[in-house]
Amino acid sequence: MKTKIKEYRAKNNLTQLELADKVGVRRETIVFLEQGKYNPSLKLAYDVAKVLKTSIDELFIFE
Amino acid sequence: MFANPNWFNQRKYSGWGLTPNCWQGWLYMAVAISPLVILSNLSLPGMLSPIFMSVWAFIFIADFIDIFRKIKKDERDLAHEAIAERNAMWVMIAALGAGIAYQVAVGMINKTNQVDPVILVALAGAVITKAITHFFLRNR
Repeated sequence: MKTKIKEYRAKNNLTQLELADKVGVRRETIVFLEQGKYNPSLKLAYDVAKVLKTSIDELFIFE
Repeated sequence: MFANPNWFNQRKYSGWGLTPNCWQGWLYMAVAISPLVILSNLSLPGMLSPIFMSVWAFIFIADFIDIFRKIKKDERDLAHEAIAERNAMWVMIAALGAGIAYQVAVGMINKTNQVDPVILVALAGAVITKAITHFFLRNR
């Protein structure tokens, strides 16, 4: 899985910690999400997409 | 109740329980444990010492449970915890099963029935707990 979280996070001027706080996870989880090493739940994917003002489809690329 | 959950981390690499991560947590642990140590070395009249120790232990066990409940865990932590607990459980079941097999073998050699009921209760309890858990989770 690839993600564009890092790119969208930069667009929204958010740090990993700020994004983590907004979606209610630890910063480490955002790190693994950005690296594509963790498959989030639908709820977390939705929350991240909402905070980054985009869609799940745009943010996560399943290969 | 008394402690702030941010004072503790849940143990991952050294068994179960809580590890303080700041001086407040260590102070809390000292306050929780020191009366038990002191009282166990004092000879108070009658049942005063055991009663006080039991009440004190009950209060802090309740607070520990409260801290466990309030420690923040995200979905990745919960997934990792579930896998780790499942693996630990399989090792425990294997050890209990080996214990029963050993006791049955020794019993057959000695022509006695020596299976420890505690092991059987532990395994039966695990089976019942698993069934109850599935029962409550079946529609979620």
